[in-house]
Amino acid sequence: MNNFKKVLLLIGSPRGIRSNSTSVGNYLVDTLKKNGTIDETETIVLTRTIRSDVKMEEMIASIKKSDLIILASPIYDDTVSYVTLKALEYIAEHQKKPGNENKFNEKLLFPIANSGFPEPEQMEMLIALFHFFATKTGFRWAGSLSVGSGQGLGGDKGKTLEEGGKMVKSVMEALEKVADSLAEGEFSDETVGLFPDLFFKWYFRPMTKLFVWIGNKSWKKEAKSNGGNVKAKPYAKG
Amino acid sequence: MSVTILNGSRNDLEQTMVVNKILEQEFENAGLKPESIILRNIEDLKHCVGCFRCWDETPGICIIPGPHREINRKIINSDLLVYLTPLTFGGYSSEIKKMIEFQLGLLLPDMTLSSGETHHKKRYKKYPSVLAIATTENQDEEEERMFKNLIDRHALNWYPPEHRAVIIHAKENEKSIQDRLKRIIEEMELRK
Repeated sequence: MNNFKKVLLLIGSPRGIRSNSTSVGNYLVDTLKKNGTIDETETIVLTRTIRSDVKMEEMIASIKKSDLIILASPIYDDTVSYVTLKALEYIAEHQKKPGNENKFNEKLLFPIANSGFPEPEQMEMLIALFHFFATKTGFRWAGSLSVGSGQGLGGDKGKTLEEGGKMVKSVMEALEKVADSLAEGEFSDETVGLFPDLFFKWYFRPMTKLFVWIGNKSWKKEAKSNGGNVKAKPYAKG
Repeated sequence: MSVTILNGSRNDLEQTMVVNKILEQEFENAGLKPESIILRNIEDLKHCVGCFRCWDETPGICIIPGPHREINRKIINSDLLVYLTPLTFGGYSSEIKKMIEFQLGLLLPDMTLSSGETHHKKRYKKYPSVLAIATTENQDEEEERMFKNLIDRHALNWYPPEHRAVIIHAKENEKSIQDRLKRIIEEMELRK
């Protein structure tokens, strides 16, 4: 059974601390703590880190002291967020320098990807990128978790997963399983969404369309209440 | 016909800068009007903070003032958008990714179901075709495949009439790059 001396949580959301990345990352760290598999934890919010090389170096130092790095990051435009990417580039550049080639070897990397789209499969490209990064920089792949329908988690409103209640139960259960797997050293790539698999079956399609319609209506209403037209075309010629 | 080249290079010495010059020349030879935007040279280019205000408060325009607003105007009014980037973990460099994230407001928040997946709807009637070019010193088939897959997925969300992903290796000489890009421009039927 693994006992982690230090677990580092990297929050890669452009939203910073008030984000779904924080909610899912904190829940996993708290579960590991509750299970007694962590001695020390640290959280780094990458929106702050990428602002200066001094902070980037502090992040590198923290990584070197950790044996498990949890990277919680959303998908933006089918791939990694700018904020996370900037940090990954810095880590990779550091690793390339003479004498640093093996600095990250044996450190476990566990990414949690989250997306506003309901289908966790839309995150396959992001997970592939994280895996490629791990392979090239020497981190050991500890599996991954892709979370669909991230906007329903409430992290952008500063909510913890526990405050999300039944709605996010499936995500909490998936993270609890991840905590067990990490402790047991049984690494795998998993997906979870707020909606059951049934949601994506053809016979459930009318209900899916209804959900989409309700979602679209709420954006229209929100924009209207702010005095705008959700379908405005401000850059259209003529 | 207008072409916007978003250059995501990290410095002046990168091969992306050489490719940028060749591209400009080939577009001009084809009678097109290219405009190159070297993103790292733009002062005050911030990054998207994921607030979605470009959807529900100032629809279509990022609420954060800055040069990205004008770049978005150029992008949506272009016939071709070129992403020119050093290949980075099978994807874009952070310089170019920073600008791509600001393009969110060019789509609607509304979702639609397409081939069993949810995607955002178009805000504008027409979107530019996309030519994504990645330069690399590596010979890594997996990384190249990842880039091509990324551009294919990107096309599902950004409605380009045509899209192409091209990898250029550091060892490839300028003449060969020129010939290849010329052929691609012809194949994409951009000549006007």
